Amino acid sequence: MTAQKIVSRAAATLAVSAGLAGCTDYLTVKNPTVIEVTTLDPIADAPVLANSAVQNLAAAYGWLIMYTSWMAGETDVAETFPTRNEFGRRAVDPTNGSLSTDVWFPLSQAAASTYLVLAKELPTPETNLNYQKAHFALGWSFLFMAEDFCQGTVRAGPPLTTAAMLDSAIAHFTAAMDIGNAVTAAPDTAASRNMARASLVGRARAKLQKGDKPGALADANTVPAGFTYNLAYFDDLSNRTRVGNRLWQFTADRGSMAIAPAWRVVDPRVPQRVAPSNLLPQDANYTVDRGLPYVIQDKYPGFGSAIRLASKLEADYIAAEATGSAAELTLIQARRAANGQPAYGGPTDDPSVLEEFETQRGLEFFLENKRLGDLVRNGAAVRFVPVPGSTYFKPGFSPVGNQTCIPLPITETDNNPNFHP
Amino acid sequence: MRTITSWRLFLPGLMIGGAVLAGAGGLAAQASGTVSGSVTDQASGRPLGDVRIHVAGTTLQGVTDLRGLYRIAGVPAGSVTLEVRRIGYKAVEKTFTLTAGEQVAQDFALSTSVVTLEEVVISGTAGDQKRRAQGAVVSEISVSDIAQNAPVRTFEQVLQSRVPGVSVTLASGTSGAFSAIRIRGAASISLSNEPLIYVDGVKITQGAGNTSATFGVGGQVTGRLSELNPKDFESIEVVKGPAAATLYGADASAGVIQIITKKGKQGSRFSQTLSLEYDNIDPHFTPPTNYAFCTAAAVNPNPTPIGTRNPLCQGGVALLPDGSNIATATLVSDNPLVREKAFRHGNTKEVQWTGTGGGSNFGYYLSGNYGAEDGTTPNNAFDRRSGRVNFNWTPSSKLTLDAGVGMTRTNFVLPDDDNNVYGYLGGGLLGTPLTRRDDGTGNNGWFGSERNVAAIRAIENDQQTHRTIATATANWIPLSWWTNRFTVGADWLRDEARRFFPKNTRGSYQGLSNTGDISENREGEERYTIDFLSNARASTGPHLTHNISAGFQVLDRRNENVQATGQGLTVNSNNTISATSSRSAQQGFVQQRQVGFLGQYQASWNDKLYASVGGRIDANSSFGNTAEWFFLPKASLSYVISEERFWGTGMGFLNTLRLRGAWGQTGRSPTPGAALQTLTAAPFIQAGTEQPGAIPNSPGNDSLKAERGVEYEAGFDAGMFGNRVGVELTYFRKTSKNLLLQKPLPPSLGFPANQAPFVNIGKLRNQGIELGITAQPVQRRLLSWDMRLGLSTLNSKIVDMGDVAPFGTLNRNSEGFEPGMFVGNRIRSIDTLTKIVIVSDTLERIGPVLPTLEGNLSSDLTLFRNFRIYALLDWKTGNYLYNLTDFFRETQLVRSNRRLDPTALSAYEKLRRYGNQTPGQDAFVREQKLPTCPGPITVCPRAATVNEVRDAFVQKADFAKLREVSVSYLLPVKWAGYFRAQSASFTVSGQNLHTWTSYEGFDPELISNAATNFGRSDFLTIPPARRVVVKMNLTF
Repeated sequence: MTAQKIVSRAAATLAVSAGLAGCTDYLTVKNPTVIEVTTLDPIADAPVLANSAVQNLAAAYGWLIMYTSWMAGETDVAETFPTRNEFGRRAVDPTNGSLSTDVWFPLSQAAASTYLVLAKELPTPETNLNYQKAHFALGWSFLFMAEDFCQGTVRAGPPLTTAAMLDSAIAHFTAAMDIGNAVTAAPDTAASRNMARASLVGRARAKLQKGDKPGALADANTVPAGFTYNLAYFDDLSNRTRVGNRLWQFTADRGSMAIAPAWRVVDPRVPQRVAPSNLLPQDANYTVDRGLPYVIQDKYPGFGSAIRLASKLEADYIAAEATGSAAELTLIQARRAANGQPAYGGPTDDPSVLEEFETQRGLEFFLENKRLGDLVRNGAAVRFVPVPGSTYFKPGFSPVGNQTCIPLPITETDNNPNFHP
Repeated sequence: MRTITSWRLFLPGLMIGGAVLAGAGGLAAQASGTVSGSVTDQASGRPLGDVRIHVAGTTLQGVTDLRGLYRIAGVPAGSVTLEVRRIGYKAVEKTFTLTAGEQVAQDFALSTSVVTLEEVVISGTAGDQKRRAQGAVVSEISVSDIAQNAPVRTFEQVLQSRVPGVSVTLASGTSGAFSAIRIRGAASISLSNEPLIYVDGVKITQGAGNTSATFGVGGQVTGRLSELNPKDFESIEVVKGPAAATLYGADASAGVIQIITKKGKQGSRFSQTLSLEYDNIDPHFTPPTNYAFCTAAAVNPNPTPIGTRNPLCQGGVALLPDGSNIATATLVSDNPLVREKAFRHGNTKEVQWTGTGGGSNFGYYLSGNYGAEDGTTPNNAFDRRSGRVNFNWTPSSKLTLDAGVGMTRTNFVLPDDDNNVYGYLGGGLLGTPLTRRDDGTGNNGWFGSERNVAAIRAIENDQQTHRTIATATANWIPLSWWTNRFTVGADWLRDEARRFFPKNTRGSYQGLSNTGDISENREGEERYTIDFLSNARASTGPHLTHNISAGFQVLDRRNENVQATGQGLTVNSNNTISATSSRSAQQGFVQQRQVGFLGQYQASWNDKLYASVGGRIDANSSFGNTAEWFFLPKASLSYVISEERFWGTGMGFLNTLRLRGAWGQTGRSPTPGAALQTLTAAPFIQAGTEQPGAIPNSPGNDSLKAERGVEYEAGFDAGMFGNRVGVELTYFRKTSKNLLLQKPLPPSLGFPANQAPFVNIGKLRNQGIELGITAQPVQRRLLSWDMRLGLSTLNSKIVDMGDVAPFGTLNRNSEGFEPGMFVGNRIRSIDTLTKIVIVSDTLERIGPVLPTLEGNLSSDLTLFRNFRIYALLDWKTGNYLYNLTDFFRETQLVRSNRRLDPTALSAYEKLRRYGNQTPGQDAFVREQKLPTCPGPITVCPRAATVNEVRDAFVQKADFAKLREVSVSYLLPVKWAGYFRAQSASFTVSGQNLHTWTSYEGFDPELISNAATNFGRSDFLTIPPARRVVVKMNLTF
């Protein structure tokens, strides 16, 4: 090969290489609409991810309250959408699209997003607030899953029984409490303690649901008086589905919920009003079908209304239920008096007391996603739930079903490999 | 005749390319002569326009005007070969000697031909561009011929039913809405199956329009191709699959469509054409009536207030609460859409002007178009203004420069449609007669409160699109054996879209929308193309010719949109976002780049046998920052066996026969960023304020690769019976490997369902046969008759899904079956005595979503040289459509007479549609055939719901349509003179005239979301309208 050929071929090779290298640069484009995971600092950005996980829980909470309120008979479905009416009829099909997107996914995202924090090696784990928030959000996610769903799973894991979900909830609540109680440095102390107390209430609730009444009682009794923990919401038009109060959104913006007839009571614990003329039910035939005016909830009157997650009051109810009829009766009378009701004068046998206890509890925690769990735990004592086999109040629908828990959507059972061993 | 001899006189834009390439100097520098003449139709003797006369070995060419005249100046002296071509005519070549300064007359009389081997195609090939050299089929449509008489306003209308294997679905009757185009079935499950569109070699934006801004219109979004004016098209070439589309790179597996715009005519004098068109658009559709049994409340003659009395139920019998006396209750009906005249006759008014002409070495084409279309609902309009300037210049016999700019401004006004509570059908077909009121307030028979025609009409969905497509091509032939083509161009578009709910006190809309609600969207998209192809030809000996081609292509796309929303207006007239009390904004950005280098070697033996191999190496920014290069090979063979000596004078009836085969690969790339693991910014609340946060978005897939489409096709082109019958038969087999599946994730992973990551798994195969038969049974001076039959079959199957389990509960992807096939729990038996309906315990196939057989038959009869009758019939069979409208009206919000009238259906049919309706009984009962069944109900559920059993509502969508009939009359010259025109024609035509189908819904072509790959549901979608068009063409 002549020198000329060698030089010319080398030049050609260099030219082609340079061209390809230039192309590679040319093919590097901007992608500013998403956050590449690699751009996050696992330690510095951990608070962002932890706080986001708690917000995911708040977003899921709103959805759950609405759908379970339909299923447990706290509210009527004032919508025409068949998928939502399936909840009102206690006959939710696994193929129900709303089940997948509105109910199961938000709760799943709340649970899964905690692992963005928990999977990272963060400094001082025993007092790391990011871990605490993640455990807190995951504990509540497991608890809601256990109370509302027939089965559960997290991050495409194996199917979980109710007991397994409650055990997981207890474990994560415990972890959140441990961190909260270990934190001593201001200004984190107050916030982390509060989160620990909310976790304590959650753990008591999980234990009660599991049947561990002594454990529930012990936890409930240690909740300090006057304690309340709310999840915060915010009115932001561009992020209403994430940070806005879902109950108000579906009252004001959608017209999806009407107070069920049985809960149209004069009681300060169940704020409600006949809807003004500018707030109409999405199902415009609602008033005709129900034969009643369209009454909307007034407990959450704005996009920024907070929703209670845990409280000493709930701890008192847990403690009373864990203790027995006498304690329940005492609490009944106290709460009736506090809310302007005459003293309970009905039968005092255990089932009757439990029924009244559950009714008071229903008033107390109206639209707080407790009723479905109560139904599982105390069955017939939980009143005003749509009666299986009865005619649904809207014409053209099948009769009311008998579900007491929500099935997992087919999008989960079909696509999760652990459901097809 | 004018000549441009100075560079300074030429368009500045062309100078860039021209200055680089045109070292050869001007025309005057060479010894040359001029060729001119006329071209006529041999049978009728009438002059032929739009005939291309090309001087072989140069870039020189002329085009005949309407008088059939042409003139080519600057033809190099010496032996000259003219190649004369027009679609539908037999190509002619003529060689003669031209001396310097001489003016030679060369006239041609062309005979029609159904055999098109000499036609030149420019798409999907390098080297010899005659059709005879192409191993893969590239179909060509003469748009100028079609647009002359047929009522075509959009690109899709031009394409529909004209090319075997190309399926166009006009998914609704909404004017301006998107239509889906599929070539040889679906190439992909998860990525777009829309073909790439090029205009004069420049890639343009296609597919559905601004979906983010037109949220309310359901699936009837705007279509990007509606923004083009087809009357500016000369022809369309369709590159059907990977075998032919390899040179278009890693995104072309769904096919490529090349639009060639009309060009200026060098050597012809200035002529103008004025076309006037008026369409009457008939909705051709009566909405079904809503039914209900009167209730106790509805029969109350004295409700409070009295205005709420139901006028339909007075005197009726009330339904008892337990429903026991339903047989005696009064069944009343109402049709709010008819009552309030929701649908109307629309119309189109269109005027098109074109001017064309040129000097001795340049030509120009100018056009202006204005069309205004009012659709069949009060808030549906599709207006388009467009203009085009094309200019070509031949400064020397070695160089031609073409440049064109097309500009359009399109206004779409679209009604809410499909799955939409604000739609006419959504509002009208789901309302109940029980809400009728004397005072007309409330629902009054509509689905929503105060949601009547006036309220729906008041919703504004407007989109204005400004679009400019600029192209420039330089063809440089420095030596007779060396040709070069360099193309640059851009497609710039900008949308201004708006959705507005007026403030109202009646509560016509949902919730806070009644306070006044505005969304504004500004979207800009830019695409740039740089394309270069060089070809060298050499002969070794008298028989063998070699063509070597090489080139590159660079593509760049950038899309950015900004959307702002506001809620709460003081007054409706002050309706800017700034005037609202609460506001929000969003932004999106996408950028994608692609680079490819291509090469091809082609050898031909005696211009009868052609073999070629080639390939393209490609990279795409979709695959993250580390772009992977991949190679796409191709090979083809073409053999014009009938020109061999042994063929002699033909084998009886068979005069011409070409055998061909091709194999090639292309790809399909996912959306940019699909490989990345990402989060989405999402706020959280802390201390009463919003803080920036993040939530899971997509798990990504860093090993993502492009889909690879591998196709081979084989077939023949034949001319029979004196080449009066042409047959084109092709068998294709297209396999998409590394199939990108957007594998559904279980929600428990925490990623949104629409962000499921792409994974390269599986293999999809499409195979079928395409048959085109063109016949000219009669070709006489006073009578000619052309017929064309197109047939195509499609057999699609997912061959392999790797380790992905079947997914989808309505449209399912499962190995061994068609992609996106319809499934359900299928009915096994119906017992009318026990009312037990047994269904399968698993999801089973019902049928495919895409037609398995499509065909079209057209007839074009010309009488007395000036009277033309054209008819087009087409049909599609084998596919299914989910009649979700009926499903909803019969099983969800029960409004249908079919469900409510106890005499409407047989007991068997009731059970088939709705199952057992006895309270306490399962509607459908699953058979227990799973290995684990019978067993616990959690494992073996017994009951199946009507949602899962779709046998009655996933219906066959077979149909035949009389798509088009037109009658044209070419007025005598004397009559044309009354208009001071050289020629005048008058056309009356009809579209969508009759449909034969067993489908129970409004129309078997309806798709409530045409932009999806396999979503074939008919849900509250306005059906296609019938059009009658009156059109006049005048040429001056």
